[in-house]
Amino acid sequence: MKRVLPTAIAMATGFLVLLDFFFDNLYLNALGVTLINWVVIIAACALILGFLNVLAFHLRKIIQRQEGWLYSIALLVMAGTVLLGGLINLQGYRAPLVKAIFDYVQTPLQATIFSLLVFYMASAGYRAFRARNLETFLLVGACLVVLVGQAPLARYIWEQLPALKDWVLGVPATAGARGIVIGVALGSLATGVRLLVGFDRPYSE
Amino acid sequence: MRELLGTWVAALLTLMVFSYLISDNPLYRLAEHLFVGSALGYAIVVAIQDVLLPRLFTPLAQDPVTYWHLLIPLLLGLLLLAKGRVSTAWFGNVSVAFLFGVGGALAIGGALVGSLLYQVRDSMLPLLPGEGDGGRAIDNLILVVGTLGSLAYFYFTVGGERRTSGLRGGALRLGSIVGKWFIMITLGALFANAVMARVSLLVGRLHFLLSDWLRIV
Amino acid sequence: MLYCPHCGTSNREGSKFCNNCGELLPPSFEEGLPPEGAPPEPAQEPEWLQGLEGEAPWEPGEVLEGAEEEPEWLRELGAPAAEAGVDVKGEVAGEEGTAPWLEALAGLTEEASLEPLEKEGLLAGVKGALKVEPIFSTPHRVGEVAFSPLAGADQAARFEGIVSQPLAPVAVEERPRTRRKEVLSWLFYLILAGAVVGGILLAGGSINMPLTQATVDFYKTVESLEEGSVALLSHDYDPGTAAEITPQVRAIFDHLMRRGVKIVNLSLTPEGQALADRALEDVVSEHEGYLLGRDYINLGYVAGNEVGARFVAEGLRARLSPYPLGEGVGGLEDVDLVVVLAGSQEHLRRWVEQVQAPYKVAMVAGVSGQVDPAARPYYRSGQLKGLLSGLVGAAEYERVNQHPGIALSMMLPQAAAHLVIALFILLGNFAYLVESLGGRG
Repeated sequence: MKRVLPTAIAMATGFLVLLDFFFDNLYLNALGVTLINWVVIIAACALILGFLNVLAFHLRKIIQRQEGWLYSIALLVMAGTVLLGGLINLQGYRAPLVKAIFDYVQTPLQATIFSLLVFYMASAGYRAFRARNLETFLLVGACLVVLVGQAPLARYIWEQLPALKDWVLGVPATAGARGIVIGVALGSLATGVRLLVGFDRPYSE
Repeated sequence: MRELLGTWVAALLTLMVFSYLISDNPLYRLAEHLFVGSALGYAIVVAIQDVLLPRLFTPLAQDPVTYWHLLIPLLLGLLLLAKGRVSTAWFGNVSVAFLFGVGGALAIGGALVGSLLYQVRDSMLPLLPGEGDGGRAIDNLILVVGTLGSLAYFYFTVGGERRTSGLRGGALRLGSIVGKWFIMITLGALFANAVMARVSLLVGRLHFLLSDWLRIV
Repeated sequence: MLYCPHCGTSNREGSKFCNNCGELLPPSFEEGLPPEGAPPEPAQEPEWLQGLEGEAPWEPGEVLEGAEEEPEWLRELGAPAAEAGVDVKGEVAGEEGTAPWLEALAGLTEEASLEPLEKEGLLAGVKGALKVEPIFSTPHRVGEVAFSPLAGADQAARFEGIVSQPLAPVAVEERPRTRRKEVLSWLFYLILAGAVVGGILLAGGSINMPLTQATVDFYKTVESLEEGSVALLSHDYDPGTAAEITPQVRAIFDHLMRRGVKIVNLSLTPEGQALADRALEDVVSEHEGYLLGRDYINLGYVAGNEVGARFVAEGLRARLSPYPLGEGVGGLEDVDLVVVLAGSQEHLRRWVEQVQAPYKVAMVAGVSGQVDPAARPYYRSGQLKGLLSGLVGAAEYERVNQHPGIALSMMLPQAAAHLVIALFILLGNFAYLVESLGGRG
């Protein structure tokens, strides 16, 4: 029962939603909308589950005084501040404190952390992007054409460079990307079918 | 005043993160943890305010008779939370199965109709030049060859190097060699665009420091 | 080839029993011992020696005490031969109940105990210690032993040599090279940052930059919307990509508001709805008459990724009905344009697969630069009627709209950084060329 029930639910709900996807029927539509509405709610609960997991992890770190436990305190204090801030007057994310933290803490931090990567990409460009054979030559060549071609001053370097960049992006790169897109779609299809027929059961350990 | 204080806090946090370039240090780690904490808290606030309250709790509280069916997602959501403990984790299997079932079905439908159909159809391009559009015919040829080639490359490498012999095997091998070239071009373009994206982020950050904080620009 | 230690016959590798005399062939050596007179083979360290970790099945000095009580493991060694049906009766010479090989061991030990094998090291002064080798190979009659006692000593000595070597410290020669690598990295970072800072400081007017077809198509699609049309914008990005997408959003809002299009906003990421709000606040202030609830609305966050997109498509009417904007919007079929603002490839694919294809709605996308190559197939196939790519795309859009904004002013530092990184790549290839030519010469 432990194993049969989840599998049966996955197969049944999946089958219904799949029918709703392809066929236009009043009852199917209503059922499909209901199921999807429920999934949206449960997905939000999954976010809360994720939060609880992180909370437990960092609490354990603090209690056991593991390495970096002070940082865990900072993390939990910040999370708690945002949560409590949202409770003030029940304004949620429109509360001034939450807005301020989002604008002056979260946004600059996330943007800066993500922007760090460009430095490592630059140094990787020097160390790793070496044209050793035909394939790497194509890799480096395409990279240089697109990189310089995307720079707004490209046309002052060579007039045809922007057009060449457009061609590289629009034709050969698109062809390769299309192969990838089709491959990924086939993979999704296969995974979805395996789920729906009960072959794969990622939901039971 | 609030904005001035906020700008200084943002600038300080930005510099703390940039300090990682010199070496991993406590300032950076503190900044990282602050980010994770705020992002987590924010996501929960948004999830509760935009999803759980209006779609679950408020209807149930205001009109439980009409919205009795919302007890099901409520129950499934609570069962999902049981996944937090190893001993009760199996309770949540039903909820996860529900999520996977619906998600899987949509993935099938979407992949088939949204990606495969259109992309394969668009690969059937006119290869013979019409009136005066020889360039387009060449582009189309390259597109078709490239698409088939990169698919052959995946078939050959991801599925393992199957020993296909004869004409089919030879064609597949040739296709995968050609496909590799196209994949290399695509990867080069991907890297260049990824660099472009991160450069924009850096420009944004440095512009903030120079303009909003130091007011030099 | 495996040589039988009893009769010297060579047997095929992998054989368990001698083809000639039927004796069990030694299992531990890949190559069996050659018969006497054969050219000495270079001593090879057998596997068991390498794996030896002090797990002796016997205690030194104890083995042959009470040899009459045959230990279990000794008994079992004799069993395979019996099971194989090989007649070992002929081999039995000695007391009943004592296997001949055990006798052979006794013989060996007597010799060995006169002089302990090792004087120092692990096996130092161990009396009665058998040569390790015989325990692990099938015992044989002493007289016909085809190996020299010294071979065992040689191997034991080698074993002792290995374990007595002090642990060598890790070579520190790499230090100077690592330090040099670090300094070089810092130099790169400085040059890159300097280029960007220089670009920001020098940026004056906007650069006259070329337009790509994808941007022009995006512009034309929005331009074709009539006043009162409905546009649905999904803000699926976060502060990590906001530096690129927010300028796009501002330019799109500006264009839509100039056309008098009603704007419905939502987000499949928790942060997207807040970023949309910020952009809306800025742009709406320039367009008087645009009212919240009547002309634009922000529906907030929708959880569930694929399911969320589908949920939006199917439940749009219900969500819009409380607002004046919702009048006349019966569902997705009344939406004239869907604009997907995607920070990642998955977000874009989601909308194309779950909404554009099934509902055949007109769709354009503004994406982060890194998503552009993955978005191209959809643009090429016509599923996306237009595509804005990164901050550069935002700048192009500002230009085609003739409304310069933040994006155009950032183009000089952007270009500077691109050129610097391209230079690094060229430099790296030049260095590689020099290295390989220098290596060959």
